[in-house]
Amino acid sequence: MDEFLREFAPMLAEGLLDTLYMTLFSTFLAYVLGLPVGVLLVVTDKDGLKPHAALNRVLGIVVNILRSIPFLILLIAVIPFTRFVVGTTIGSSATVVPLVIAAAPFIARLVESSLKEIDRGAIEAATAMGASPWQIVYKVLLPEARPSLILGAAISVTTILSYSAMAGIVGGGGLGDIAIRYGYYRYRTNVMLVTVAILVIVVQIFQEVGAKAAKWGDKRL
Amino acid sequence: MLLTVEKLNKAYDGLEVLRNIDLSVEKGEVIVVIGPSGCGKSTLLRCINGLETIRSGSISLNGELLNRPKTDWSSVRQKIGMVFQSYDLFGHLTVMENLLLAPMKVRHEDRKTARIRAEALLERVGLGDKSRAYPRQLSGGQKQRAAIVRALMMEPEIMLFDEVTAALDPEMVREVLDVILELARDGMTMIIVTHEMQFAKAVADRVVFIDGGEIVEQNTPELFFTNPDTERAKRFLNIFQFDTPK
Repeated sequence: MDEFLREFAPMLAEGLLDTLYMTLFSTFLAYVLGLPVGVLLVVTDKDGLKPHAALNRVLGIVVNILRSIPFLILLIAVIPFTRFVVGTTIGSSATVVPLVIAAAPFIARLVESSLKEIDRGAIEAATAMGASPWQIVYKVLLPEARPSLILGAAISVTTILSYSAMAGIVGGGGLGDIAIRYGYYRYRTNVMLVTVAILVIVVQIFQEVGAKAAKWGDKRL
Repeated sequence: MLLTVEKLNKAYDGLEVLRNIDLSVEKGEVIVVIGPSGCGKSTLLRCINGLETIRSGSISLNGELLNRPKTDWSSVRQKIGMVFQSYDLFGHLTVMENLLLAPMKVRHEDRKTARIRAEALLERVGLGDKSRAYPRQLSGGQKQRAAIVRALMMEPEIMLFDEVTAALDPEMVREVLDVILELARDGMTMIIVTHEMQFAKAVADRVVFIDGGEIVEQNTPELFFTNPDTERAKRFLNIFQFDTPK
């Protein structure tokens, strides 16, 4: 056990940091893209605040196309783009690119469904008081949907975390990379088990924190 | 004339819901609109503040035509307060924040002046101690009174009430109707859609009876409830006469 720790602890610690960096940074960037798209999907919907059939259709199609590509294939397909953006195709920074491309449309749909849960009455009441569509988005739609948006974020983080592990196959860095290199290629099953255990604990923490934050932010019940 | 509706027609997917509606409302007048469910009463209110688009006809506020493309609905809606059946308070905000949101964001008032007005209004409707409560902590009647105050915060020229007591438990109906009665006494112009006949009798300057999407009769409350001009109004009122079977 001592020997195992001496051999792998520094590497696992570094892998964990890499994984956290990839996951959190990708989630952040994916929200920068996905949140506005999700809002636009709701606003331009035919029952939305500013219906716009063409824009809604185009956004919907783009989101669906990106969501239908399996992540493993996307990972490889975007390699030229990754090289162009990051300058390299291996390591955790390179993994952020496909992660963001895969997660942003997923997040857009999550945001869309969170916002659609909001009671039409509250939106209508705001409209009837003379609020503009964007005032309604900022002051009613997003704040009213906050608990649901936070839960969605917890789902996103855990999904992106598992995607990041997949990136280990193409040298993506992080715990997934370690699990594949040692656990799979070198038959070090114990390394694999430990990485999986760490991933499980990290997912638990994200989920727990997300659920707590959502509940804390919910004034409606 | 504060509000004039002329030859208004409204249809949903080809189905006519309002036909040739002519209605004018003077400043300070209280109009009560009654009629069977689905007759188009609520739709009429929603057309007046632009929540629904109309097919033909015209709606004017203070002589200014509303149903044209360049209408600035944001400023028009500030003059037309509306209260809904389901209260529709913002659940993530306290009562006070509910009241301050539109004055501060839409009218760009500073918090202090809006707050002074909000406190006075809350006091008036008996919610002086509820400004920090969240909507979930209020009873239905309290929520509806808060929603009325929220609409009043914009200092509207006319108030539209869309069956505001229909979702309330019977014991809470009175507290809401009392608030509306008091507004009427203060000279607020109002169009009230309601099923509360006793209340209609007490508050109305004029009763408008709508059936099948058209105005069948407009009359004073005294005449309408005792001796209406039309057969359809008589039949409708009979439904409410449990106590005097014929």
